[in-house]
Amino acid sequence: MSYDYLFKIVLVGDCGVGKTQIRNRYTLDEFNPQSKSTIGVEFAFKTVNIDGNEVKGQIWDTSGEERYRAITSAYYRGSVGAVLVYDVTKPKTFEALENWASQLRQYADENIVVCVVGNKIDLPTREVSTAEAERFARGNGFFYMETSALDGTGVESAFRQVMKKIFEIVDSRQQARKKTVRAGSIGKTRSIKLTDADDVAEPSKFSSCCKQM
Amino acid sequence: MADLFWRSTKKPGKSAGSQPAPESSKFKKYQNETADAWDAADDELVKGFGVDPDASRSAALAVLARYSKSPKSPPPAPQESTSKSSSNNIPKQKLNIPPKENAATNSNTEESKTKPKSPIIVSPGPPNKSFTGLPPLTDAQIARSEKFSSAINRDLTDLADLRELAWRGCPPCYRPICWRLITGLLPTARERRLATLEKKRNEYWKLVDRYFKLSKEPSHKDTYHQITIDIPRTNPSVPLFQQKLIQELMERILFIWAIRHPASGYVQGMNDLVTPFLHVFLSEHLRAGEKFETTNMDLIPQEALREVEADCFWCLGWLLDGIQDNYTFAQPGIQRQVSQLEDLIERIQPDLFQHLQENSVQFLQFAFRWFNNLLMRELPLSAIVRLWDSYFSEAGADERSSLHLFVCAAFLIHWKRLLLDQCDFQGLMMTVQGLPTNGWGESEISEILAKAFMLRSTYTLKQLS
Repeated sequence: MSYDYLFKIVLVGDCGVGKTQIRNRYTLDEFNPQSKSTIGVEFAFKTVNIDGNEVKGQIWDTSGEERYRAITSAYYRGSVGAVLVYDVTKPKTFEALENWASQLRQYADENIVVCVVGNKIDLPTREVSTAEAERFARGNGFFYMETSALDGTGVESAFRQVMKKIFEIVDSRQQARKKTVRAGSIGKTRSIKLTDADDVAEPSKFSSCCKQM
Repeated sequence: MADLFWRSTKKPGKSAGSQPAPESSKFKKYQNETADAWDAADDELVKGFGVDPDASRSAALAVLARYSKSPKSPPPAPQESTSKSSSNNIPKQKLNIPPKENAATNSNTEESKTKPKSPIIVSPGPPNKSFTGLPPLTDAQIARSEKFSSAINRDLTDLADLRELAWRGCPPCYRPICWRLITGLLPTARERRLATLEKKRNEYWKLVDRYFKLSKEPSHKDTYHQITIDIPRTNPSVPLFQQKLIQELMERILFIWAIRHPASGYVQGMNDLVTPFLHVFLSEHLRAGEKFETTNMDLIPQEALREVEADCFWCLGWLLDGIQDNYTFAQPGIQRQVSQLEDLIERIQPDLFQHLQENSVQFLQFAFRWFNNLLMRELPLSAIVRLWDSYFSEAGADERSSLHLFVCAAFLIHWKRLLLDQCDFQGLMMTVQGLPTNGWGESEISEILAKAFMLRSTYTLKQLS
């Protein structure tokens, strides 16, 4: 399988908001009510087509556990997109977004593309209004989407929106040369960075997590 | 598992047939000598221990026959044990408990003589009929059984002896008492066991009475909230863990432990670590043919559940106390061990190490949870229970952690071929975070342990500041 771009996207947010369910819905089109808490980080991948380019999303599904943060914040490095999840039925998880956003600003690329996602809209007990969440997102320059990992609503579009925006940034700079690399050929790697003038970094500069083959 | 358990464990090879069981002080040497003797026949094992197979078999059959006649009552304690377990016969200073509590314990002890209780204190025979539903015991099983029985029923159990036995796995019916002894929940002196256990159990419930209400306090609300989020996600595919009684039991255990250990508090993964203890201590209360996974907690007497809960609490505490730096700020214990694992693999399996490196796979990315959850996310619960028998055979917490590290190394090496077949980061990560261990049981665990043992006797760990 070949692809043109590899985007590293982190999934962050409080414990129990449904990050892993969103990841599974997006990459496997599954919802497993018997899912365990994520310890550290788990990976998943999905390739999509954006404007005729094969773009692989490397999804880093992180744990919301506070204690892991010292270790897992290192995973933010090199990520160009983030899906910042809260639970629309739990205002506390919405209030925590500020803290998550500042974590991202601290450890991830400064121009990281962020989509705030209000999950569990299938539940009747919503407590965070769409307007309130949109206001927060707009104020921070983030996208906003609402999802239900249970029935699939919004999940695909949230990721697509993030990937498309990253793609546009990269494309508009016209720095990213289209280069299809056969999967499995070691060494021909390329990562996407949003800050640097050259979007295509030297292989030696890569953080280990951004390798493309 | 019980059946497999007996067969593929380490067996005395060179010493078979010629030497009696080695002295505990020579344990390490013994392990070295026997580590490669995997395929010795069961008969050899029996001879090696100097036990007459026929005598063992008939003794075991007699025991089984006795219990199968009265499945609901515990095995009658031997005369001697009964008198010793009664605190009437024990000088008070020996019990080492205040007079008031002594009186309370005393009445409990009296009660225990008339009321059927779990047989854990003095007579650890097959505790109920469920164990009699297993296939007939082999000679080797009987021999091992006798060894455990003898080690446990001594007036003063030699923990080194018991640990040595536990290395090769505990027979399911002896595991609960064996774990209680090794974790220090039960004292080695047989005459003090009943009183001590009662005292510890009462102590736990006093802690619950005093502290569990703090779960509603603002300062502890977050801890409690985190625990209640995680508990329904503990082994979610096992129906037992979806039962309210079990979830409440785990809540209390974890919350009380957390507020007594503010340096780490509750950290995700600790919920998993309760489950092997639950598995083992609940096994004493299952009815014939009943499976742990589908046990209906409502049918287990409340008093029995209270005992299980208290025992799980103390044993979890014992386990966590030894690995608390896995869970304190920045998790230094885990960082150190992941780094040591990486260093080991680089030396032991340079090609595997290089393969991971070339594909940008970092050890922290997959091994973090191997240490945070002690492989509980990677192996089935019954396999973990067997693995822990061997962990508990180590003399102290540092040795247990070191064994776990070598087990992780052996575990990774076990999948070497599968990993080398993956040619990119994606393939490697998807493989290593979902290793196919579903059917794993005794034989796979024994193999990993043997490998770990061999590695540990060959390699030293990188010392990190």
